[in-house]
Amino acid sequence: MLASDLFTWFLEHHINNTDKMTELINIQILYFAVLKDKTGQNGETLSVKEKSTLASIYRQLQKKYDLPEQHRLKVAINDSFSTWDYRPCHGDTIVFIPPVTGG
Amino acid sequence: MKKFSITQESIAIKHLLVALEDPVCGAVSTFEGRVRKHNLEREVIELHYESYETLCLKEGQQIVDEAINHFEITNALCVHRIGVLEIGDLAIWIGVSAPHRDASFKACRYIIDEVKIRLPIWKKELYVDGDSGWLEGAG
Repeated sequence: MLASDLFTWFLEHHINNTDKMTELINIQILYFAVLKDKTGQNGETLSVKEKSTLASIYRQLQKKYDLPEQHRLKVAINDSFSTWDYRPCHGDTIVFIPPVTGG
Repeated sequence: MKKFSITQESIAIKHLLVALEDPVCGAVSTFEGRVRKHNLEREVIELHYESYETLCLKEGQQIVDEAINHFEITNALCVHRIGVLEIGDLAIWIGVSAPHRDASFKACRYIIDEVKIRLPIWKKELYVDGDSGWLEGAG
């Protein structure tokens, strides 16, 4: 086996093992206002890879539902504001908050 | 009485004003936000307010507490209505009592300004032509 083949085998083997070790967690998403209209629902349960960030989760949903750009939104986890790099745990509830218009 | 609350019903002002009364206060400032007939040159029939209630109650309480801590006031109350509101309906009421007027005016202004940029509440306008849409950004 050539050294390059060995290297390729190592990479694939390593990546496969990493994938197997990555567990899925279930999180609850609640939708409000324009996000509720775009997704057509009040919320949903998602299975995502453990250690996913809120930003990466939103990117997936943004593509799926054609949601607004992330920079215009805030995000909350379990009823408290959060940062986008936060990695939710199994059972967490997430709300993506479009620009607010109260008052 | 909670300093910040959300209601689906018309906001009853009388008991709120009574709650602000204090013998040390020589000033009471109030702000009323009402549904107006036109927005961005479009004629509005009604507004639909929606809130993320749990976070909204926490953040609203925080805003009122900040006003009480930052300004020399005695008491402050804020009520936001949600649901379907018609033209002229009261959407938000803020009341502040203080020994002197300067602090009561400033605190009242602080609360409405913070509400508009921080509270997770959204309004959808329904127009005369049958169109509707969620507003974006503080108005």
